[in-house]
Amino acid sequence: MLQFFLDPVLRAPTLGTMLMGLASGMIGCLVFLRRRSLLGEALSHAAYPGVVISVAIASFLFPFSEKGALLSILIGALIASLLGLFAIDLLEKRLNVKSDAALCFVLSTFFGVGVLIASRLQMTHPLWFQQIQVFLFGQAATMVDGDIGIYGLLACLVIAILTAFLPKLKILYFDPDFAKTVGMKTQRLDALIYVLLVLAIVVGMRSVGVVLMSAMLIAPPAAARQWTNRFSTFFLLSAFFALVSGFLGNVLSLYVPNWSGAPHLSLPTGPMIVLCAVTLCLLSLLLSPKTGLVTRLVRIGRFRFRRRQENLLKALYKKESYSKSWWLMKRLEMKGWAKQGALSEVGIREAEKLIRLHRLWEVYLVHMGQGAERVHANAEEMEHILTPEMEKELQALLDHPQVDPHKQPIPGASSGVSPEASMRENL
Amino acid sequence: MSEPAVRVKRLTVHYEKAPALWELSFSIPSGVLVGILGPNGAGKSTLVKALLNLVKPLSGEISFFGKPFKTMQKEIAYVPQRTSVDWHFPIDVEGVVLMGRYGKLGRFKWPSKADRMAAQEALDLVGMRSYAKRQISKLSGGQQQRVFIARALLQEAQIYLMDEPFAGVDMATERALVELFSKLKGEGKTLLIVHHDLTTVKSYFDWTLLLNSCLIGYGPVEKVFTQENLKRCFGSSAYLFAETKKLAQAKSTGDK
Amino acid sequence: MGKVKYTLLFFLASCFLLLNGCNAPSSSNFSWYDQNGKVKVLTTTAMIGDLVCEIGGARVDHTTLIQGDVDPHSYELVKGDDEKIAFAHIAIGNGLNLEHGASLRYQMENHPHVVYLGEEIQKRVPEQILYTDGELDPHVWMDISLWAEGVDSIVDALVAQDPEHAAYYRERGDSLRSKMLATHCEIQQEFQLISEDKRYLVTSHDAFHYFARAYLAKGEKWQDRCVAPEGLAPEGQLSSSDIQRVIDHLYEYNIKVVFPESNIARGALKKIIASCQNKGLEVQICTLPLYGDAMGHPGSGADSYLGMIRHNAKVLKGEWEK
Repeated sequence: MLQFFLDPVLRAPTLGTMLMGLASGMIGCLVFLRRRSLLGEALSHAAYPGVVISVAIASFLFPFSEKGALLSILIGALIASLLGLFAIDLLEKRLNVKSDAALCFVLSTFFGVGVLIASRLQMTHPLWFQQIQVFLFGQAATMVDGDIGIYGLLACLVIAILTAFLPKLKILYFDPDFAKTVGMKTQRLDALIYVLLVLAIVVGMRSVGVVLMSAMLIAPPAAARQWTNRFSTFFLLSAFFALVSGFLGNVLSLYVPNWSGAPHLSLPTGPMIVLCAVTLCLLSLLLSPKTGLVTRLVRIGRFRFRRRQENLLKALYKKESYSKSWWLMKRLEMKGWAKQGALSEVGIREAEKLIRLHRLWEVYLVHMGQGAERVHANAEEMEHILTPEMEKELQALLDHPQVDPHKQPIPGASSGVSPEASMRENL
Repeated sequence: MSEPAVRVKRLTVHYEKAPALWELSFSIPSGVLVGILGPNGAGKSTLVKALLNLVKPLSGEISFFGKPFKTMQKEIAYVPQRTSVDWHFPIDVEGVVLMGRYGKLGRFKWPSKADRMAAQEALDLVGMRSYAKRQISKLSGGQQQRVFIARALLQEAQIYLMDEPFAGVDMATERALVELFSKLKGEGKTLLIVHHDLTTVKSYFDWTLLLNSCLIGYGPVEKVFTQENLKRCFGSSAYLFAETKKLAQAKSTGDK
Repeated sequence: MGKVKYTLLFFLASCFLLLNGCNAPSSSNFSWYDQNGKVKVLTTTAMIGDLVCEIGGARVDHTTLIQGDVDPHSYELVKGDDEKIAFAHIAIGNGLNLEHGASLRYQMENHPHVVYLGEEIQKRVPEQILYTDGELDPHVWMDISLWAEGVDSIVDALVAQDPEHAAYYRERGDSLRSKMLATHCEIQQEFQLISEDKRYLVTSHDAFHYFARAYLAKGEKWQDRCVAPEGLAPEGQLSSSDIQRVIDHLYEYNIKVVFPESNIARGALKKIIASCQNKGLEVQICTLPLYGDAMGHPGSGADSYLGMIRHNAKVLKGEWEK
């Protein structure tokens, strides 16, 4: 694995894409928090005409200087993207266009202009056109050590500034009005963040291209948000996911053709990185311990299973029939609630607890004004849900009732009536 | 202090999306609990925002203890409306409360142990002792309001400006908060609170400020909170006022 | 505000002037739409167009759709192209999956007299057509002897359109074919004179398989003689494994020079050179380009079909004999 950082073929793409991912993953957090994720898409597409025009100018002015060409492309993209930002602001603030419409308008107009000029260049200067395509779809594999200098510097700039301002950003993004009242220069800070966003986009275009850049701004924060509720951890995790995606993308791009037995299969690095980022996001949405979809389904399933066990327990206690599955019985026996088809001591107490909760809840509902004939169904649900603390509160509130609304006795420790006695009364 | 806590002279605000304020003049002494009242669209929130320099007035002067807002910034605390914030933000209760320390902390510092203890004390005062590490998305309406107030307490200010702190809050919380405000008043602080429930004005506030784009009246509750003033502020004649205000606003923004 | 507007307008104007001033000169100096009684033949690539010119001579007006350095793989129709195609009596394309552009394919297929030269050649000598990873390799013009098989198809098409002058076309076709085959043998012999361990060709994309098989390999496997970072169509989508593959090849056969193509950006080759230099392998990029998918500009010496192949042979010889 170390070869990815040492081998001259691999180190520039790996380092370049990881740094790019780091910058975009972090700045993407802020865009994500403001719920303006489409902004990344709009600004990266707005950079396209800048790339097109500056490729033309650079190839004209310095046809042999690599660094000169690179710099002018970066500057061109920066200017175009900032113009796009300005246009969005104008549309929203002065012309009262809604946010999503403004973003789409700027995205399509700027990109359209870029495509227009590029398609003309395709006929007249095909070589320039190919240079432009490098930035449209990204070409991480052809990054050389020299590129890392500029891109790395810019990426590190973004990361450093963000880290330094993190405490202020926490306040600014949570409550901008409050931030203003405590003296924060909110407009300047906002402007700074937008400039950093544009920088991150321009740096990332070389790796994943204009078209895919917004994925690197959105997927890592979306994934990170599933795992943490803390602000700083959110940033760190997002950066981590972006780094991992960058690295994995390079690894897969290099090895999958060999693993799959088709050595001429070419998997470009940029799209592989985006695929990794999106997969990480998807896995987070499904599997994260707090909010993951699969986790939730498991929790629901476990609750339902516990409920069936408890219902079986109750049925055995009341000597009612219940569709028994062999596995349910086995579970009861494993919990120590039953032994060879009959309830154990522990089991009996558990069953009584359930019945107590059920009847206590019925008393409560009647106390709250429900008719006695309607409370049974709800109590059937709640008996599995009420906690011991809630039981204590209910007992206190209802003054330790002895019978439920259907005149059935409430078994339990505080009732003073022994379980056997209450059972005899029932019979 | 001989200077009034808040003095406003001929304040006029024309704010595009919010109601206008016309030629407000009043002064509030320190150590009072003021209820700002008025019908919907009267400009109550706009007044608070203008006082906090969040909205630029067209004309007029605002001073706090004789000095402008920028100088007195550290002595003024703001409790915004609960709905103005996204409660799904990844932050816990303690994090929000600690924001109150920003003015005192300086540029890039992280909060110290002393700051955290102060935050815990503030949470105690609002009755949320054990909630420090709770995610703000898991709070009820009343709890959210109390977190904001704890944050304001941490600012250790002289003047508190609160925008509808009782909105959507349960009775128990409301009573607890009123007690807290009285305590603050007892310490010499000045509180200006936008309020919406006319039935509780007499029991909660010392002073009241009746507003309907222009000042109907201000001063001690017994003097100002009269039937006549209320009619002028909320009654049917006020409806005409609201309509003309809407027209005037439309003219200034070019709406049809 | 006036100043800003002025600078903006100036900037936009100069952009447009710059772009319009860089027009590639059109390939035909006559008007395609003249009703002058000649046979109108439209070809997609200039390599086909050159053959048509030679065979048709004065009896044929021909125009080429894909001019200059434009990539034929991805060419899509531009304004005016469908009129050009409609006006042609015969439309000749390369086929064999060269033209990917959907709009171009659609127009060509719907033409009443369309000939796909590559596919005609495939009908005559199917065993000569190469496949790479199961995909057809369309670059048949890189082998002169194979391209000469197409001469008859062009002649037949012209005769069918203009039977009066059948003899004229056949005579010119025959003379062209013999010229081509002579050049083919000449080049083959030239390459025999170069030592075997030098004859390894590394280019920008996989356009030279037929060339390698015809001129560089001596009966055995030609696949080892020819490698490139990009595949059959140069789309710029590379992965590090492509770069690594080429570098491994350079190591294995001790190759000292790589050859860029005239109409493909050199980013991949530059990356390969830089990586090799870092590893201590001395590899250089040739200063003169090869012509793969496009012929040279007028006056470059490679602006005809045979000129293009000869130029390639000369450049390769020049580098390998050093």
